[in-house]
Amino acid sequence: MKVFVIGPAFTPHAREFLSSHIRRLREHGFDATGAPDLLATTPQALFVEKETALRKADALLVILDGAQIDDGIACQLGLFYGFMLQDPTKKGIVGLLSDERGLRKSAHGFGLNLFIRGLIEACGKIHTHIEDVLHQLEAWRDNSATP
Amino acid sequence: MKVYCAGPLFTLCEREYMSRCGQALRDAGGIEPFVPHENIKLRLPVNTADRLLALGVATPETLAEQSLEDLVRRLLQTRTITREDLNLPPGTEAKQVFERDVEAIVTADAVLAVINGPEVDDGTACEIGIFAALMEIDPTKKGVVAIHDDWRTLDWPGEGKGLNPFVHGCLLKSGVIVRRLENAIAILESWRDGKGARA
Repeated sequence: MKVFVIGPAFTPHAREFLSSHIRRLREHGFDATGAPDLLATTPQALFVEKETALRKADALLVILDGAQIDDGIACQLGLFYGFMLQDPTKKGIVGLLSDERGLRKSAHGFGLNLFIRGLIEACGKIHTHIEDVLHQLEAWRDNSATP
Repeated sequence: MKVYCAGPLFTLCEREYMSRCGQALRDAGGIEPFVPHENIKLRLPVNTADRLLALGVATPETLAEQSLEDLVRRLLQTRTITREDLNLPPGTEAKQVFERDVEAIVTADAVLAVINGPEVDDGTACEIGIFAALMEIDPTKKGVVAIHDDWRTLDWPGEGKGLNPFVHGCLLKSGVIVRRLENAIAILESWRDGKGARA
């Protein structure tokens, strides 16, 4: 199952952090890729490169950390949701949040934008541990759960 | 033509601007805007009118001029009253917000997006992405017109880090970026009149 991993990737450590999640998914047998694997630099080329990856993906893992989720990530989230409307074989979107500001508001939607949270919960779930993310993706892969 | 108005709506200033965009579209004629914060559903207690009169925020005349729900929505949006003043339940839940707004996006012919801010508001960016994907399967959809005049993210003149390249690329493919509301309205009018192709 192809999983595209998106999240903040503007600093070397953020890219390494994202890469560690991609490696973890690969260790569990997923065909995982993400922003650190991409090379384009112009807006047009970057869009095409990520759009292609999103279109091919069966599921999306989105890192939801940050004061708000990064605008590029939010746009990719929307694009993937739009692709899901076109392709019912796509599994869904799983969110991973470790931001203390959001965790403190876990009983109130993690402090996330309501539209973003509503979208993820309409076709997936928000988790706070990578192990739960892996279980979710494995369930989708094994068809033992639907979004 | 239905136009979904996407943009930040968390402060009085932001809501005023989004409402101004909506009004400008109504004034243009033949355009039906959907402004999310103007479409919040309220379940009003039966004594709401009396309560508004007692609070001194309405008169029999203002109550007669518009629907009670419209009046209460406006008073809440301008923070003239609070939900507690009327014993209303807390704000709308994520599921309701998403289902209401995504339906309006799916049925829209075009999107007017305000992309100002230190970065594009995440909800707005997400809505741009959804509409860009919908344009692929629905050739009647016109495109996204984005208003961008925030000093912090303009390439020139500007002092920030610029627009997020993915959002920028998405807009270059599915829409037009303009500096002024007037320019955005002109483009939407041309789409309404069947002039101009998709961006």
